[in-house]
Amino acid sequence: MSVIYSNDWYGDMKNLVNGTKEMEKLAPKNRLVAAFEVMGDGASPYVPKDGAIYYLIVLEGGKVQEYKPLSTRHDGKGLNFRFTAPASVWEGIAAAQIDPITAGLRGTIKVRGDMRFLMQHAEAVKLLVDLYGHQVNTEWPLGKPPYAGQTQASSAA
Amino acid sequence: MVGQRVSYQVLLHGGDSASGLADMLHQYLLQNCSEFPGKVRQARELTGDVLFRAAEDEAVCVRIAFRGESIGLEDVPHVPPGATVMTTDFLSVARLTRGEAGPVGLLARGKMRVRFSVSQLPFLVQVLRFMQLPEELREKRTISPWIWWAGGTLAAGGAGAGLYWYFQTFP
Repeated sequence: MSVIYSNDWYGDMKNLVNGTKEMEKLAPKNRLVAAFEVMGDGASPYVPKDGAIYYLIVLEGGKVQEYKPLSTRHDGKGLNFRFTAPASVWEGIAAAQIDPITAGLRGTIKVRGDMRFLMQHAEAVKLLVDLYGHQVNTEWPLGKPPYAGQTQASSAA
Repeated sequence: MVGQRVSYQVLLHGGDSASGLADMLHQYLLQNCSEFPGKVRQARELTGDVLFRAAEDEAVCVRIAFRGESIGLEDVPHVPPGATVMTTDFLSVARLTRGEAGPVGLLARGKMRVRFSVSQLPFLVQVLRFMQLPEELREKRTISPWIWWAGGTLAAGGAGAGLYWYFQTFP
């Protein structure tokens, strides 16, 4: 068990993905760099309302090479994808309460990058987000989503 | 409206308030048209509207308006009567764009639903071909064109039979 957004949590997430045989098969062999932006929305107790948490995932050779927090927003150089969403949405996904694909289709998660690459590796992307949502190692010391005044439906909308 | 300066216009109505489906389709078409002249040639031959609806959330529905010299995308709150509509899920769309799945196979497996009039069939087939990844980005496991046409014919037959049944049952 590791606390969400702790260094152990990033390590656990990396191990979770790398421990999945299917991911090794589906993941692109080329280098893929994706930045995740967790924007404070006043609902999540883990991200200040006007703050943000940024982290980076680097996939190469079918394995996650890096799954690490960033001190600032990624400047975009060498970046293939940027995923941005309110903290309560990311945390709702991590708690398996929000479907990430639906959130992406609705625009709750903003996706920027090469959509052709996304189509070419859609199965890997789906597996990656499914793992994110169905992992069970996260500790929620300040409370687990859905947060007060937020329902599952409203958080996904 | 959001659009980049490219030789071919792909416009997204609604800007930041557009759905994720509209936004991603916009990026996809813009990237294809700005890098692959063959896609622009295909786009210029298209005139008509088609609605793409997300099977994961049918409230998310995007109209793609092909106007020959431009493409416009916008969210539609309700599906207008008589509109050509394709409803499918994220993974099936990906398989369609990669040429690994054809519409008939997806229809048969319930992974795709299509509503169209028979007269729209050639347009719909052209749209599906246009939506595929450029040849240069695809693996060599594509579906040959005759399967698309055979599929289209089968789909048309099915649609005709469906309409016949409908008008016989509910005159």
